Amino acid sequence: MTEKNVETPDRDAKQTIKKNAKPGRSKKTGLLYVRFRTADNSFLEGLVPKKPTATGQSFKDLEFNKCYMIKDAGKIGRLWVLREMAGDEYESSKNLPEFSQIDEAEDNPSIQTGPVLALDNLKKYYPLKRGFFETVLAKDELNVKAVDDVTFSIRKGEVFALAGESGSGKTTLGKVVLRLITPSGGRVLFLGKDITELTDKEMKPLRRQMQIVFQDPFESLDPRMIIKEIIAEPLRVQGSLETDKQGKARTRRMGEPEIEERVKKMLSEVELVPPEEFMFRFPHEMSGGQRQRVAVARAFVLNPSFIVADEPVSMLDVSIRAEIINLMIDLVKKSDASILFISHDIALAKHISDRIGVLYLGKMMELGDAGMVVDQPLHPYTQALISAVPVPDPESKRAKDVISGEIPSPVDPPSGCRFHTRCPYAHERCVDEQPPLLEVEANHYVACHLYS
Amino acid sequence: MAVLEVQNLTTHYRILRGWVRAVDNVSFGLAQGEALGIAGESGSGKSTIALSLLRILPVGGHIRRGKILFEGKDLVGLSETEMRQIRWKGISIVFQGAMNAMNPVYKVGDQIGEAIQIHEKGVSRADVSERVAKLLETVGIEPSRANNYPHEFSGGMRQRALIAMALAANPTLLIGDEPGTALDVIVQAQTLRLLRDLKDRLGLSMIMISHDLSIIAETCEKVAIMYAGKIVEYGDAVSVFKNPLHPYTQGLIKAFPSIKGERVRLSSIPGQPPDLLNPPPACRFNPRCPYVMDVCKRDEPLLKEQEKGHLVACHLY
Repeated sequence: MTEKNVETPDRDAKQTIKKNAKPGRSKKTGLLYVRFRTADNSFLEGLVPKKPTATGQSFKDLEFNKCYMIKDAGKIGRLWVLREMAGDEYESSKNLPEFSQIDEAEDNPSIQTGPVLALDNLKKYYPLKRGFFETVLAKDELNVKAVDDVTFSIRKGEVFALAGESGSGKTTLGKVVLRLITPSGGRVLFLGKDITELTDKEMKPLRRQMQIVFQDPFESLDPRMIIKEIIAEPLRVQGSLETDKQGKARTRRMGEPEIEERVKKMLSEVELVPPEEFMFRFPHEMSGGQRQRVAVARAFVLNPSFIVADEPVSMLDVSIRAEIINLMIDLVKKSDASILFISHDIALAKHISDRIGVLYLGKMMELGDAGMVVDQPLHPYTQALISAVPVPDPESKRAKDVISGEIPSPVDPPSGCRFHTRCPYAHERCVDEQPPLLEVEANHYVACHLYS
Repeated sequence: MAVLEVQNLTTHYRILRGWVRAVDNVSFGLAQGEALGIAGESGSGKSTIALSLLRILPVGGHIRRGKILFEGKDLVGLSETEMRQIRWKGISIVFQGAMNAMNPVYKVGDQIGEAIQIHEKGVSRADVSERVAKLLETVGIEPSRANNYPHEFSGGMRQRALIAMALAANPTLLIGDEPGTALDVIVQAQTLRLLRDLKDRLGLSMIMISHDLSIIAETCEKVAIMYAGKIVEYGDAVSVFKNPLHPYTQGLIKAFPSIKGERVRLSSIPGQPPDLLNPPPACRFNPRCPYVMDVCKRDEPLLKEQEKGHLVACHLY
């Protein structure tokens, strides 16, 4: 009797905590949100039921980047987004049409394909740990806003560079998009799916598609594993991806000879030849450059469609940096994968990437084609960053105007535009109002009041 | 007159398996008010040169041969007591890693003041704190911050405080060992600008050690390029950067992505730096050199003047 009485409120309490952990997400609507790209370069948004319909169609199995005929709208569209509709979003959204029949259609190559990765107002806050009395007395929670409202997407086969100083949140962002860290808000759409709401079990098959190369090859390789085991581990965990007779994808455990074959092939692709010589070495028996090649091989062995490279060459010597970079770019281009290249070196980013995003205190300041951002920077911060980069030319010793100060603390960052404390053009509006990221020229976005 | 004249400096580290030839037969000179940049990859021996000049080599490091003539006096033969008079007053150093180069439990002002008190016996405390305040002002730090501890400083401020510390005893020669490497680009630019200004204002001679060629291009008039413990090219910064002669220098300059100019595919130098326990015979660059000839594996090339004031150690010339 007594036991029961104690147990009930306890369980209730637990449930409230769980609910509070992800506000708005826990309420299920039983609906899926879909977004199609249509031939006239616009979007077709709508809702579909999650459960299979009376006709037996299950919308959950719609495939990313495939063309479908949407009967209700009478249009053909390419699927860009398929995700759960959250309760609060459903209530606040404008009346989206509900689709009841969506059929497979022939591929229309004129319709743009969807981005491999799309970030939608992504946020990552770290609550600050404080003493008991401070917590009681303080009105609001203090957060380190590592990533704050970042929105961008990466196309298929694109090299996207994320540049910024230390403390700008670029590494956190790289880890959030792979869901190595859970975000505090916003969405990460990977191949059209919202990975922020997936369970770890649902994540596992997706992890085959997304890999990371870390900064320090002296720490990212297990010192007790031989190279063969390091590269084989992803294969052992994920198995081999195959399609069965019904055309459904499934994984199969790989046999030892098969794994060895793949490892050898991968080693020769990263130019550690002959593979037999390197396979049985330990990481400490290799140089920094060779180790980073192993890290690259490990990331590419599953043929991922998206790679995060977190400062992959900053620990290496200058004379071998280019080799590793070129190797990665070649592998990416060969497999038509996309890469998020995180770097503090904007000069390097210019040469290797298609587009550059400049991050400052967790906010995207400027985004555009690599050449444009570096050669004609619009944001005062980007301008300052680029003029501060030393040039290997002794004759260009100009009296440089270096902006003063250092990057402020991401705890309680400056109001309005985050850069206004150091900006030479700051005016009143910059202090009060946060500038939105606007497209000022074609494919060149900037978040600055000077341009709005 | 030359402030510093290094002749055939050879510094090796003794380890169980033999001698690591970190610096081998290196000679260079430095005139009053001149800035020399020593560039090279990690393991090329550039930091060992700095440590040899101050005779603060770690355990196992020995200057096995050569002379270091500082203002006409050979530092190699000096006793430890005599050497202490040279350190800081004659030659001072700004270490890399501004984060760990200061003592965390002493106030910044006291750490700077310590250098003054040691070198000038009988200075009053008031004088010391006045000079500390002045030094901090020189490097652009609010003098009242002398009472702060290092952890209360940002990275850039710590680097500035280290520079102030290096200037405490009015040295003739300032060595910068990778100043600015651990800093962000903007702060790095601020630091380099400060060093340049100080050099011009105080008439300091300077040695800048860095793996980053562009930092050296921006701050120095003379450049020495090191590879595997040897100087392979030496000369005027303009002449070395505009017309690099040694294949290694050429490769190194090409490997640097420049913020200016067209987007290009980066190039690299194939292979890796050699093991200094057992360096390749003759020219140490021969296993990686694209123009390697038979003579490169047989005879060691000597540093010879190729153009006026531009020396190179290569058999091509």
